[in-house]
Amino acid sequence: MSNKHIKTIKDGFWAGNPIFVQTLGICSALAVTTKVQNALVMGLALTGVTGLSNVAISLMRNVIPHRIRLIVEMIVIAALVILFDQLLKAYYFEMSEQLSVYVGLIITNCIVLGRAEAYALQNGPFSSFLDGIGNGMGYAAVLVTVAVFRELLGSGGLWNHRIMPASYEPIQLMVLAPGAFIMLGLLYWVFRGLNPVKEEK
Amino acid sequence: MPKKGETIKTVSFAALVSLVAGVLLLWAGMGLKDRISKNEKVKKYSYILRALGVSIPENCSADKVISLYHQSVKTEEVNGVERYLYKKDGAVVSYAYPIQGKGLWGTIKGFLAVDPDLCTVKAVSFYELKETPGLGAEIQKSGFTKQFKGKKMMRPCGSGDIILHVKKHGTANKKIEVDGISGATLTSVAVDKIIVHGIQAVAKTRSGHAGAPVGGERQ
Repeated sequence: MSNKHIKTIKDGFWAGNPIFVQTLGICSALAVTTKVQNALVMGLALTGVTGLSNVAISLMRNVIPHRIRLIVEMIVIAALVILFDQLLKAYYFEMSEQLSVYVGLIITNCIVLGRAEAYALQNGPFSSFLDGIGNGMGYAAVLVTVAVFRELLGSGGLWNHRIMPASYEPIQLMVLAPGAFIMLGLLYWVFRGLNPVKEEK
Repeated sequence: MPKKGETIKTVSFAALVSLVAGVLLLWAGMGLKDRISKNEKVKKYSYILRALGVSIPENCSADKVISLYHQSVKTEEVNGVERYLYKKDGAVVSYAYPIQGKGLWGTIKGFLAVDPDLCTVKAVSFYELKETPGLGAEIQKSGFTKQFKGKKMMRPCGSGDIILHVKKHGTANKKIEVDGISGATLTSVAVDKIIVHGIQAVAKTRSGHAGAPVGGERQ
C-alpha cells in the first residue's frame, strides 16, 4: 500500500473525521452509544457498508447519469444495508436482536451518502474503498469512545459486565439522550483542541 | 430540456440498477429465508420453555431446543384463549399465555407464565419488540422481568380486581407492583396495558378450568 493510500485512510479517520469534522452521523452516534458492544457492531457495520457502497459507486462513476446520481446512490446503499441486515439475522441472530432497528437505519446515515457523493464519484474503486473504510473507522472510534464513558458512568460496567464497585450509583442521565449530547459535546471539544480545523468563512 | 436520447439513457440506467439490486436482494432473501425463520422459531420456543420453567441446557443447539419444546410443551385453547402448558408426571406445572400490545415504536410480544392456581405469576418475558435499545428495550432484561415472579395478579384470587401493575419508575409498591424502567415511561405504560390484558385472558380461561381454587365470585 502506498503512502497515498495510507493517507486516504488516515484522512477519514482523523483529519476529516466524519463526526467531529464533517459533523455527519450525529444521530446514530447519540442513539446507539449506551453500550460499547452495540456501538462497536454499529461502527463495523457502517464501515463495511461505506466501503462497499463506495466501491460500487466508484465503478459506476463514469456512467451514472448526473441527474439521478443521488437515487442511484440510495439504491446501492439500501440494497447493501438490507443484505447486511439479512445476513446478520441468518448468522448472528443474537447480535441483530441487540441492534434492532439501528442496522436498517444505516441507510439514512449521512456518512455513507456523503462519502459516495464527495469521494467515490471522483476516485477509483480501490481508493474509494479505503476512503470508506477510513471514514467508517473514524465513526466507529468515536462511537466506541462515547459508549465507553456512557456505559461506565450510566450502567457501571463495560461490555455488559459490571466493573464499578457495588457502592457506585450509576448516573441515570448518562444512558438518557442528554447524557449522549453532553458526552459528545465534551469529546468534540477535546478533538477540536487536538486537531484544530480551519473553518471556512 | 434534456435531449431525448439522454432521457432514455437515464431511465434505462435507473431501471437496470433497480433490477440488479432487486435480483440481488431476492436471491439473498430466498437463500437466507430458512435460516432466518428457523432462528426466529428457536427464539420463540426458548422463550416459551423458559417462561414455563423448563430448563434449557447451556449451549443447547437449535435442533435440541426444538425437540425439547415438542417433548415438554403442549398447546390448548380454552374459552377462545390460546395457552401453552407444561406437564410433569401428569400434573400441570405451569401455563404460559401469549401477550402482546402496542409499544412505543412497534408491537411488543411476550409470554405471561402462571402457576396452576392461575393467580400467581411464574414468569414474564418479551421476545419481540422495537423499543429503544438501552431504554425501553430493557424490559427484556432479567432486572425488569424478575420483578414479576411470585406476584399475585388479582385480589382476591380469581376476582376481576387486578392488582398487578407496572408503575412509573420509583412509584411502585414493590411488594405487589412492578417498578417501570427509568427514562422509558411510555414503554412502561405500554407494558402495564399488555400485562393487564394478559391477566384478563388468564381470567377468561378460569371458568373452563377444573380443579383450580376459585376465590371471589365477582366477575
